[in-house]
Amino acid sequence: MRRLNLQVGLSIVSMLIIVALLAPWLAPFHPTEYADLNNAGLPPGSPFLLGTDEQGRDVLSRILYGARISLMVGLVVQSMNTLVGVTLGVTAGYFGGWWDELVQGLTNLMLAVPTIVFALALMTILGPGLTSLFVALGLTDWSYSCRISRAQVLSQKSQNYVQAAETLGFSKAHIMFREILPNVAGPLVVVATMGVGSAILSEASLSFIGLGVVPPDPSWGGMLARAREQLMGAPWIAIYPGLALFFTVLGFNMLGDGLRDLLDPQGRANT
Amino acid sequence: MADSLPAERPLVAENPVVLHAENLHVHFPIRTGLQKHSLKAVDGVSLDLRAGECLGLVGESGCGKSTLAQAIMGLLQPTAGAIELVGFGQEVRRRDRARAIQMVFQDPFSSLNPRMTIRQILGGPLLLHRLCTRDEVEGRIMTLLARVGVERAAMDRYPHAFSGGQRQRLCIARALVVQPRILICDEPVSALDVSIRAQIINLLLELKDELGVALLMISHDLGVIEHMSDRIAVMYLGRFVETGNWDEVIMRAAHPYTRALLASMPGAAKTQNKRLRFSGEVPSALKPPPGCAFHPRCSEAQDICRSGAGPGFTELNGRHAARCHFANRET
Amino acid sequence: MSGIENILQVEGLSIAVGSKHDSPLAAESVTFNVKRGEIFGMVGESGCGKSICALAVSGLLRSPLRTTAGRVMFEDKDILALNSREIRQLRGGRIAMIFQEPMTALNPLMRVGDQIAEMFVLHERLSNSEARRRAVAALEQVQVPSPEQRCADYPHQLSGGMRQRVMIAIAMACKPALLIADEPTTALDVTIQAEIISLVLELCQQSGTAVLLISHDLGLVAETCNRVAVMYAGRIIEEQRGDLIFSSPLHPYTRGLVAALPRPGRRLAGGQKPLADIPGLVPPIGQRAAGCHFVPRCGRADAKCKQDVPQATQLGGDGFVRCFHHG
Repeated sequence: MRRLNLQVGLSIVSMLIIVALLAPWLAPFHPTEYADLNNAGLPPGSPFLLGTDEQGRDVLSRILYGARISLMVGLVVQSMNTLVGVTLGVTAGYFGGWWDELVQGLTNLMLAVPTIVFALALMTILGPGLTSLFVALGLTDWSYSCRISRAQVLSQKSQNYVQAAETLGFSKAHIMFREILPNVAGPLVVVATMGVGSAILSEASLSFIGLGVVPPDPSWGGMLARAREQLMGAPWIAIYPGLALFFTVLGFNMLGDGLRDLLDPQGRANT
Repeated sequence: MADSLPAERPLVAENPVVLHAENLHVHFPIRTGLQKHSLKAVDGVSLDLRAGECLGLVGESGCGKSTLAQAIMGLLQPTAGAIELVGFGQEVRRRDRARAIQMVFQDPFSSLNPRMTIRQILGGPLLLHRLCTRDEVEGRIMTLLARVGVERAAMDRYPHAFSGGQRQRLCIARALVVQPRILICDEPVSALDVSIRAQIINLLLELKDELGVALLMISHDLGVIEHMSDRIAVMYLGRFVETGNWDEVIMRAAHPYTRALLASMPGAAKTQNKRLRFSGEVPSALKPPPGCAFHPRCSEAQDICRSGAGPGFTELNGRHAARCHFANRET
Repeated sequence: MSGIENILQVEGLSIAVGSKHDSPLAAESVTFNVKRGEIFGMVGESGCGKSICALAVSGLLRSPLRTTAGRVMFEDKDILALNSREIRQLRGGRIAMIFQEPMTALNPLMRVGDQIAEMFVLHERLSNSEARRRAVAALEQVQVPSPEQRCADYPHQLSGGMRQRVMIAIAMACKPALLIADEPTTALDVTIQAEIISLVLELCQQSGTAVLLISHDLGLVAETCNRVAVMYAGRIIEEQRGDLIFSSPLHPYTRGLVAALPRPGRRLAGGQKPLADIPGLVPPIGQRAAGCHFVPRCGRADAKCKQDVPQATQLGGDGFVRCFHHG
């Protein structure tokens, strides 16, 4: 059961990566330039395996290209979140004092207000587009990384190897990031992996309400938004991007769960 | 009597002083409800440490011996008092202190970074302090490993591959890698099995004699302290209550606390003619009793012990002093 | 001591780690007996199997540990053959236990007095008020100052030494025939240790309780116990009168331990000579060769030691040693 999470998660995520990389070769049509209104709203069949949308674009090709955007947004955003969260969390845990209290206050604030609300506010200021998307999502969802890295550092700080490094005259940066961080990396990897899924979801949400990726670039969220009006007549336009989104997020969550089981020594002892 | 003993090394009393601590205080602020107290973990300790000597620091848990060690090491900021590293002037830089004083901890299992190889653990400090070039690191580590009795193949292994005793050897190697003048050992053998304990004690004593490093040996085990120390300091509730040459303290313990410590050691009944029993436990350092802090547990306490500021040190001879009103009384 | 009946007889007890038929043994044919009212010590380094034997004697062995051979006769019952209800009845009543860390053995959410009173209600069927009165008396007996107030305390409000006293009060509540003390003072300061040990001895003498004292501390065991069994790598390698362990150890391992111990008075008598150490390490479970387990660390080992397991050589009077080259 434990291994199943890891295996399924890993399969889905690797498939996503392959699809994203090979989209230009896999996609039968161009995602934006091929738009023939004569073919608009065709149900799945040949040559449009998953049908066409209201502008006559191939849904399959758009989903394949959309994987690129989703993956890029997920990875970039989550890297930014992890960088911010871990830096704040590790320093707060190590230094303690007023800095710790400040960081904790900030974290609680971020946790109290839903991420998407912060992101929304930022996007409204910055305007739609990929760069603003990175900024808006990459600076708002770091509270979990921060909390977990802080707690982990606190538990490591009392270990003698940290004191030994201090007595040997190593710099504080060295102690935090070279000595302690490798020892707490396990749980952080888990949080980061799961975060990719939620970042992809957030991107979809923002694109859905028109604040994310600018049309006509294919984004799963944007596709869903456009498909809303045809939901009764042409459900395939909504269903397939929805499924892609669902499996992607599921894949990252399962991978995260699997990694946790793999990295958590307590969990291993129980099997 | 000590002079006539075989296999005793020459006295180290003439060796140069390498560390001098004067009237050291370490207080921790404690808040209980609205009231603020300060916990006087170390409450006015002065000590000298000479090159090549072993100063044994003994006391029960909570007496402040580890806090004192951390203050000397620079891990804690003393509230008052001065620590002078002889030859470094008033302002000692962090790096200089690291080169001068090193420490070995009690728990060998948490003392080595589990994610680093022995090469990284021992090589890091060498490069940090620019003690050798990158090419020389391997040779240095080899020599050091050989000296502490760990096989060369250890170099590229991670700490989990070693037993407790071997880890403690590696911890000693790491402390020695910067060639310190002072080595603080905080209960270095308490977590080890008896047969391994002897190996580590022997190693520390050999290193002390070979390298002339000053050893501050902290232990609750008077057997270990007696075996290793040139001088002994007995600590109780943040203060030294008796200091002196090891043989004086062991044979002519002048403070009732020291005598009680000696008497409570297993196997001590035969060497001590009088078995002293403790009554009660260590009082809280938050509210030390008035007068002599030991009086609630002392079987010989008189009225004078129960009030006032407590006794100062009584010099018994040049090499022995005790903080007791009745230190001169024969027992 | 001959002629006095044994309260505990352990015969050929073997304990395996794991459920396979070739699972490694943590204890191998351990045989010893404890006489009524006697203080019997088991001493050895970590991993020698002494605590596992204590668990077996108290009927507390849990998977993956299991007994593969032997009997543990307490009075006239084989503990290994009892069901869990019968064992529970025995524990706390006829057999009592104290452990190294009293905090984990006490219920943190229950007042100390109630935990002691519980024993009287359970085993002597006393009324609540009567049990409470006895709890105060029990605390007084273990020399806890102002026992009435302490009864209302929770375990975390007491110091380590006080908690161990409470554990002793609970253990001795029903005047057991056997007290199993597993490292009872290891977590305490030497000064408190001396007090606790003399308290246990005093109480046991009063109620005629035998003690099985498990410890790594050779000095403590030698000073306290009538007889001492020394364990190494799952076997008892020597059994001796307590007062002879230091003066005439027979097994090379025991000799090594005695020589390795920095004991008080030793330097005064002989100077600061290096302590004799035992080279090498205790072989971990599963990596123990046939023959004598001490071979890799022994200066006297020969081909015979590598092949055959030394049988117990009886000594004059009490005790035995398992070594081909003892003495």
